[in-house]
Order: sequence, then C-alpha cells, then structure tokens
Amino acid sequence: MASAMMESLFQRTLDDLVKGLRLQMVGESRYLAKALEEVRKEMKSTDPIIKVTALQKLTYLQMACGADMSWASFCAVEVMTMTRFSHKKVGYLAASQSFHEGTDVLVLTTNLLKKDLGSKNEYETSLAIECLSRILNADLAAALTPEVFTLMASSRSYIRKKATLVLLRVFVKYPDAIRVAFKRLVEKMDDADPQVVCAAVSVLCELTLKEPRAYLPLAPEFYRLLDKSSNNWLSIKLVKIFGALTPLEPRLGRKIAGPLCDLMRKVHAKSLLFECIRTVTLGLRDHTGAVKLCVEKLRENMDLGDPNLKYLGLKALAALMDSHPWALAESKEVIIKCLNDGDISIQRRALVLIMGMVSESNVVETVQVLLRYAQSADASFCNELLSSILQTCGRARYEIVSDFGWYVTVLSDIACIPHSEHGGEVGRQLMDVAIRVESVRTDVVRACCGLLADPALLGRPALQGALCAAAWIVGEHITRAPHGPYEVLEALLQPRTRLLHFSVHAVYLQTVLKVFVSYAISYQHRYFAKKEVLEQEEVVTQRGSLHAAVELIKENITPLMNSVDMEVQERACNVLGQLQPFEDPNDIHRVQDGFEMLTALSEVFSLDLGPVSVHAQGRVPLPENLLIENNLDALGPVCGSDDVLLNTGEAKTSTSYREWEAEFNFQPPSKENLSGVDPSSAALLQQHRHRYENFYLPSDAPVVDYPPAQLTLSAATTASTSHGPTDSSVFNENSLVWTKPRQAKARRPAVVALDDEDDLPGISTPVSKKGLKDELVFEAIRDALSADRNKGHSAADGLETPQGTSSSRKSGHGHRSTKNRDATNPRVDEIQIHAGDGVGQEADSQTPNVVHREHRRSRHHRPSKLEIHVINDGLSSENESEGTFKLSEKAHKKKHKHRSSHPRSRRPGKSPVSNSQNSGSIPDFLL
Amino acid sequence: MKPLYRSNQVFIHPSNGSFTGSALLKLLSKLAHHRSCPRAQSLASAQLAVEAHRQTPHHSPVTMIRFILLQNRQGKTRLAKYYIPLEDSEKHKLEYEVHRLVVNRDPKFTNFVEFRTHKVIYRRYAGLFFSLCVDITDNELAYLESIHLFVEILDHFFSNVCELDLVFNFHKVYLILDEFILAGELQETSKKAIIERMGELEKQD
Repeated sequence: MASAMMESLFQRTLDDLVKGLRLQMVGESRYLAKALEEVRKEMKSTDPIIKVTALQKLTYLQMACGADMSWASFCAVEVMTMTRFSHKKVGYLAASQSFHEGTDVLVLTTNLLKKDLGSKNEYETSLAIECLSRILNADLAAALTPEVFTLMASSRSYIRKKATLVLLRVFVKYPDAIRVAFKRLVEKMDDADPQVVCAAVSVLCELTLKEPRAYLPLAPEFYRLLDKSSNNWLSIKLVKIFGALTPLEPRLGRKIAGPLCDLMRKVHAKSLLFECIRTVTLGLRDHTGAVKLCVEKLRENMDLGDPNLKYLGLKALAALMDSHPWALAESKEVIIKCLNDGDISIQRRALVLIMGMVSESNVVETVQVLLRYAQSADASFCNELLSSILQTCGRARYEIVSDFGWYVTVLSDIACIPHSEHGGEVGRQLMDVAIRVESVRTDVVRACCGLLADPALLGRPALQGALCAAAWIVGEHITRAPHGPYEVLEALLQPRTRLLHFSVHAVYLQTVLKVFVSYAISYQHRYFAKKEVLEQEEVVTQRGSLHAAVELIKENITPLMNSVDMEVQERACNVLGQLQPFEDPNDIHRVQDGFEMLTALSEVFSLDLGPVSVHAQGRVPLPENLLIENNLDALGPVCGSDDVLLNTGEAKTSTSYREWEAEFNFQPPSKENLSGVDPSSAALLQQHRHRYENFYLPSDAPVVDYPPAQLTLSAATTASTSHGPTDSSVFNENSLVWTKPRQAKARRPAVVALDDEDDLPGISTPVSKKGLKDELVFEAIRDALSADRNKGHSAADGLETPQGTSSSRKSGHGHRSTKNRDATNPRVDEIQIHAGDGVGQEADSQTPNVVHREHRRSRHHRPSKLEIHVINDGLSSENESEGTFKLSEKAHKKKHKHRSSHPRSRRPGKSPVSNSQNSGSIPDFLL
Repeated sequence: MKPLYRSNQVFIHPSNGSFTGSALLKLLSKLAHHRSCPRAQSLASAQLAVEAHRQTPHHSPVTMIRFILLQNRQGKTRLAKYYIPLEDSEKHKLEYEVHRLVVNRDPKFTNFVEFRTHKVIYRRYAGLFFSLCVDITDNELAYLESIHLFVEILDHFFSNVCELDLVFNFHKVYLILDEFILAGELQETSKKAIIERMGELEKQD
C-alpha cells in the first residue's frame, strides 16, 4: 500500500516528461530509454491512475520520438475498458495510434467496442467509432456491422454522422455489409442534418470514384442535392462525383452542363470553382460553352498572381491540352511567363504544357524560347528544359524535326549551355542524326568540329559523352571537315584533352589516326599531282605541311605511351607506329612505304559504318548445335572476377559517359596535375593559347580555369536577334503558332529507319489493378443497387427516380435484367470454350462466404454473339470457382471498354452465369 | 535448390536458383497456358494471381486524407495522425521526407508539393508546418482551407495557440482533430460546432 502511494507520488506526469524531453539537447536517446524503462515499470502497477499516465506518456513518446509501443497493446485494452471517461479516452487514443489490422489483442476488443458503441454517452460512442475507423479488420467489421447499422439510425445527428463516415471502412473490410447498410446510406442523403448528408455524400463520393459505373443510377439524387446545396464542401464532393459519372454517360453531361456553368459564374469559393473546372475537363469536353467559360475563368485566376491559382490553372489547362489546343494557344503568354516563376512545380507544369504543344510548325520557335530560358534558369530546371527538348525532338525518329541542319546546331548549343548535363544524350542524338540523315552530315561534322575545338568543354565531365560522339563523327567523315584535317588534329590534340576520361581519350586517339591517314593521303595526291606548286605552298604555310602534322602528333601523343590506361596506351603506340616512316622527310623510301600502308588503312576506314538495329541479333539464325540454355555455372571459376563489359546499345559510343564514370570511379585530373607540369606541356599550352586566342581570357595572368563555352546560339537565335533586344521577356511570343501537330512534310530529308524499330519501348501506361477488397465492394454495391432496382422495392425511394427507369421496367421481377437472361439462355448460337489466361482470378480466402468474382478485359465485342470462357470445372477443390464467363451483350448502348466484374451465382444448382453490366439502368430524367 | 512449387504433375526446379519475380510470373503464365496439364494450369493461375496482386501497389486511389502532420521547423513532429495503415519505420521515413519537402519552400511558392504518388498540401503558421497528404487528383484548395479552419479552431480553443500548447496538450489536439476529421474524411465544417463539442468533452470526467 505504502509503495503504491510512493509510486503515484513520484510518478512523472506527462508534463514532466515533455519538459524533460525539451531540456535534453544532446542525450535525447538516453533520456528516452530511461523514460521508456519507467513507463514499462509503471505499466505493471495495479493503480489505474499510474497505468493511465504511463500509457499516455508512451503514446506521446511514440508520436514525438518514434518509440515502439506495440508491447503495450494489452495495457491499452485494459485502459479502454476502464469506466471513467477520462481514462477511457487515453486508452482509445493509444489504441487508435498504435493498433493495426494484425494486432493480436484486437480479438479482445470486440465486446468492448460493442458495448461502447451502444453506450448511452454519445462521447463514448464517438470514441469507439473513431477508434474503429483506425483498427477495423475483417473480423471486427463482420462482428460490428449491426452496431454501426443501428447507430446510423440514431436519434442524435452527431452519432449518425460518425457512423455514416465509418461505414466506408466497414464496406472495405467486409463487403457483405453493403447488402445490409447500403440502402440506409443512400437514405442518409435525405437526412435532416446537413452534416449527415455531407458525410453520406463523402462516402458515396469515395465509392463512386473507385467504380463510377455502379453509381449511375444515383445520379438524380446527386443532381437534386447539388441543386439545393449551399455547403461548399458538399458541393465539391457532388461535383467530383459528376466528374466521375459524366464520362460514362453523355446525356448526364448535357443535363449537368447548365447548372455547372451557373455555379462557376456565381461561386466565390475558388476550391469549388476549380472542382467545377476539373469536372468540365473530365466529362464535358464536348460542351464548348462550358469549356470556354472554364478557360475564361482560368485566365482570370491565373492573372491574379497567386502561385496556387497559377499552378492549378496550368494543371487544368494540361487536362484540356489534347482535346482543346486552342485553349492553350489563347493562354500561351501566361504559360510562357510561368517558366520564369521561381517555383519549380509551376515551372514544370508550364514546361509540360509547352512541350505538349510542340509540333513541326512551331518547334523552331519553341526550342528557341526554351534555350533562352535555359541559359538563365538554375541548374536543375535548366537540365529539365534541355532534357525535354531532347526528348521531344528525338521522339519517334525526329518526327517533328524537318530542318536537321537547325537541329544539329540546337544539339551543339545544348552541349554548350553552362549547366548542361546532357552530354550523353546529345552525343547519342548527334551520332544518330549523322548516321541516319545523310544529307545533313556536313552540318553535323561542322558542329562537331566546333565542339572539339572549344577547350572549355573538355573540363566538364558531364559533356564527355558528346565529345566522344563528336570525335567519332569527325573521324568517320573527316573529308567534310570545314577547315580541313589539320585544324581537327589540333583540336584533338590540345593540352586539355588530358582531362578526358580514358575511354573517351581512346576514341580521340583513334580519331587522330583516322584524320592523319586521310590527311596524309590527300597530301600524297596533291604531292604527286603538282609537286612544284605544293613545295611553294609549303614554304608559305609551314603549319599545314605533312611534317608539321607528324610533329604535332608525336609531340602530343608520346606522353600517352605511358598512360595508366591500357586502351589509351595501346592506341597511342599504334598511332606513333604509323608515324614512324614519316619521321625523316628526306628518307623517300620509308615515306613511300608509309604511304602504302596508309593507303591500305584508308581503305579500311573509308567503309561506311551504318546503323545497326537493336533487334539485329535476333535475326541471326541459331546454330543447331548451340546449347544456349545449358547451365554455365561450371564456367564460374574460369571467368573469375573478370568484368565482361557488354555493350548492348546500338553503337559503341552509345554507352553513356555516366556508366563509364561509375565503372572506373573516374576523377578528372586536378588542375595541379595539368599545369604543374613539365616545360614541354607548358610550351604546348602556350602554343595552343596563341592559336585559339578567342577561347582564352584576354589577360596574360595564369589561367585559373577556362571561360565558359562560347555559346553561339547561331541558327537558333538568329530569328530573335533580328527582332531586337535579347531580353527573354521581350521575346516575341506571338511568333509561336500553336496548332495541332501535323504530319511531316515532303521536304524533310530522308531519315534512315531500320525495320522492326517501331516496337521500341513506347510510353505505356500500366493498367492499375484494383485490390481484391475493392472488387468485392463494387460487386456488392452493384448487387445492392440492382437488387433494389429490380425488386422495385418501395423503401428504396432514395434510389428510385419518380418515373422509374427504362431498364428497371423492362427487367420485371427477375433477379437479372431480361437482356442478360436472354443471353444466358442455353440456346445460344455459338459457344467458344477457351482455356487458360486466368490472370487476375483469385479465390478469396478471407471471406469465404462472399461471392467470387472474376474480371477480365473484354476486347472483342461482336453483336449477337456470346462467348463463354470456361477454364475448368471442378478440377480441383480450391479452384472450383474459376469458371470465367464473358458475356458480350448486343452493343445497344455504348462501348464497354472498362473491365467488368462478374459476381458468381451463389446458388449451386443454378447455371453460373452472371450479369456483366449494370449500366443499362439509366435514369429516365436524362432521356 | 528448392522446388518452385509442387503439384501432382508439376515439379519445377529453378535451374540456377535465381528466379526473379518477373521471371516467375513469365514461367507461371506459360504454365497457365499449358493445355495438356489442367492441374498445372489451375495451380499456376492461382499462383499467378497472387503474384500479380503482390506486384500492384497496395493503396488504390481514393479521396481520403492519408495523414496529417504537424511539424516544427526543426522537423520535430508535434502531431501525427495516419488514416492508412503504415509500419512505424515507414511513418518516420515519411515524416522526415515531408519535412525536407516543405521546410525550405519560399512563402511565394505554391502550397502543394508532389510527394511520391500523392501530394502534400501544407501551410506554415509561425514555426509550425501543417501538412496534409491527399490523392493527386483531389481538391487542393479545399484542403488548404480546411487546414486553416483547423488552425482557427486550435487558436480559439487554446486562445492564442502556440507550439507549446500543442506539445503539452497533444491528447486534446487529437480530440479536436477527431471531431474535425474521421476516417480520413472531413466530418464537420463548422468551427462553432466543434468548439461547442470540445467544451462538452472537457466537462466529461
């Protein structure tokens, strides 16, 4: 007794605990552990007050510090059973915070919850309902459905409201409850208390959004409520419901358009306004009046300058993008301005809209605008802009690009923009264009030479993919180089190439060899054609002579013979080996030998490399005796830890730089390494500096780093520079013509396409599969609705329109509609029996007494033909429910594209054919 | 090497012991089409459904509120209520991520942030961030207004609410929240009604 007194006297209260916790600056975890230890001890106490306080403390620690409280679940139940309200509520709070479906003590709570739900004290009932909404599992839901059902009819609106809201959870966990309670839920829409109506509509809204078709019959009710609703929250929910229903039923759209427009005109609450707009964009796209009003309202709101409204406006416009391009065209100025907004989410939205409107006719102007924005944007958004340009233009084999010369300059501009990190993709597209579009190769080579010559680009690791591609392209098509091979050699051998990653450097060296070969061969031709003239020329331009080239290469490549990278070293040796015959220009014989060798090489290099389809491997017939499926485990020890690099891309260089970087953990050499240096390379640097003056800083002081790349938005910006000032805000936005994308025209150069390329991975939206529980809910609700309907139940007034519906009249007193009963008649014309393809079927183990259902996508709808798919009948006990039946009705009303679910008949003797659609029941008021 | 699964007719060994989920699915779908062996078919299709179910996301889109968080600028959670079942570790990760997401946003930015597959609607009051997570298609402005309504109720109830009120009376805040939102749905839109309810709740012993 005395010890209990002491305990309660010295127990730390919640306030003490919180204060103590706030004082702990560093040793919080130690304090926490101590506090938890205390709580553990106090929980064992017999004194209810100590126990309650301990539980409350634990709840706080769980919420604020993430302490585990699963061990205290039994204590929570104990406190829940206490009679004093102030204790009880602590228990309930702990339970709703910490219990979950699988908590083992949940079985103990059933009776307790039953008692508290039926309590006279409405606050106790309210506690129980709240807790129920959090901890409900299938068993609890099954046991407590009657209680919730009773509470929905309670005389106190406070309880009715809560019971109605919790019904949704019950439905989800225990779909059979729908048969019991759905009618009452619908009745609640006529409740005297507006909050109860609101609760009922909330629940129905939730259900409708999951499976709208089942709720079409309730449309008149919703319409009536919307008509008289003065509560914005209720209106929002109702408008949302119509947003789900109208796409299914065009006549409903016609009916609702008028009231919705009125609502939009008079409403002040922006939330409701935007909900209306959303509904219009979802289901009323064909109602020009409504759409026009939306666009008008959107523009009004976006002009207010509130970022939230701007964001929502852009979102709504995006929904109209496909069906009403004019809406975007009208608001394009606002959209383009949004690119400048500081908020990344607004910028992104605007970018999506702009990219969505790009077509062949406006791609040049749009890309030009975006490139301008990219120069001033921050790094991450800049890259998003660039990647969306690359993606959009590269889409479907450069569908929207008609002027490839322009596009190539865009690509090189993208590489040059300071924040750009898209070297890999730029490189890939450059190569792709160079290979596929022959007529534009000269332009590509010119652009690539520009990229290679710019020393600033070499210092940016992200761009090495582009440089690699550029080097390869120039090497392949050196004859097209604008300033001749010697310039290219100089660019390829500039001192900063040491910053390149080895794998890129190796490509550079190979290019040097190719360029040298081409250079030497052309030199030879000239030499033998008119020797005298050439000698004179040689005197004039020492720089261009063969000897100068040899010296240049030797000077720069010799250090690479000691490179740590094997590939670089080998290629450097190769190049130098080819040069040896030319070392002494006076030794005519050796030079002759050298020329012969180079001629042979040049024949090899001159073969054109074409694109290779990614599927090419598949077309190679498999040798008969190749055992490709053999287990190769035995080879493990032989292969050892060798990393075999497989290039799966279309071409060698398509492997992105990033992969290389990750592979080799590459760090670019530091500046000290570069400039700290032997005199020879300093001299080289000096020479190079002299040669490419315009790329260097003007002063003679030691160069710390290179100035940013020379951004010459040459072709892309000529149009705007001729307009005047280059400020992006002054850009003539009207020059954008936004129309629907058109087909490519004839003047577009030929793009080499490989066959079987069309099945490239496109954008496919994954079909989301609904959860098991959801399916059960829809089934049950569909049944509940159709049962009400077909029985002509007088109590279902809430459901029934005054006039009744056409199909319900037709259906008579049968369980299913006549149409479907006809279809189930055994005297069908044709029965197809299919085996297999049972994806998505599952016997439900949790609720064995619930209907089994299957769903499948019905693809073929031929009128007056019935298909029945039977997988197996009673083959194994666990799968006896797997007969799948698909009825394709006469396409009398509309296309059925959605996945339909079929409840299986529960009566064993009856033929298991089910109602496939319930959409036949369209309220008369719509007709 | 374990057998993949066993039936009367089918007995499969994965040859190299490393079947991934998708490989398993492929195999099973092949089996399901294997006409000569009906038993294999039925077993495979049941297994297939389970696999497919496992691979789909657990929460299908609904309009309810997923969770509500009150955090201060340092990222301390002052209140957290989840309306969907989540593991404890997941909750902490989520709180951390939401805080990271909202704490550095400029007041001139939108109050909506995309968060995983959902979106967070947040509002800052002094040093406290009130964040609501809802479905991506849900009505942002309505929830923004409801956050404000909730804060007004708190302000009225604690008369000039400050962070400490919420810390020391966290259980009361939960009670208010439960009067405001139930099962992830807004249940009461009248400030007056909730204040009156709270008054009566306080009177209960």
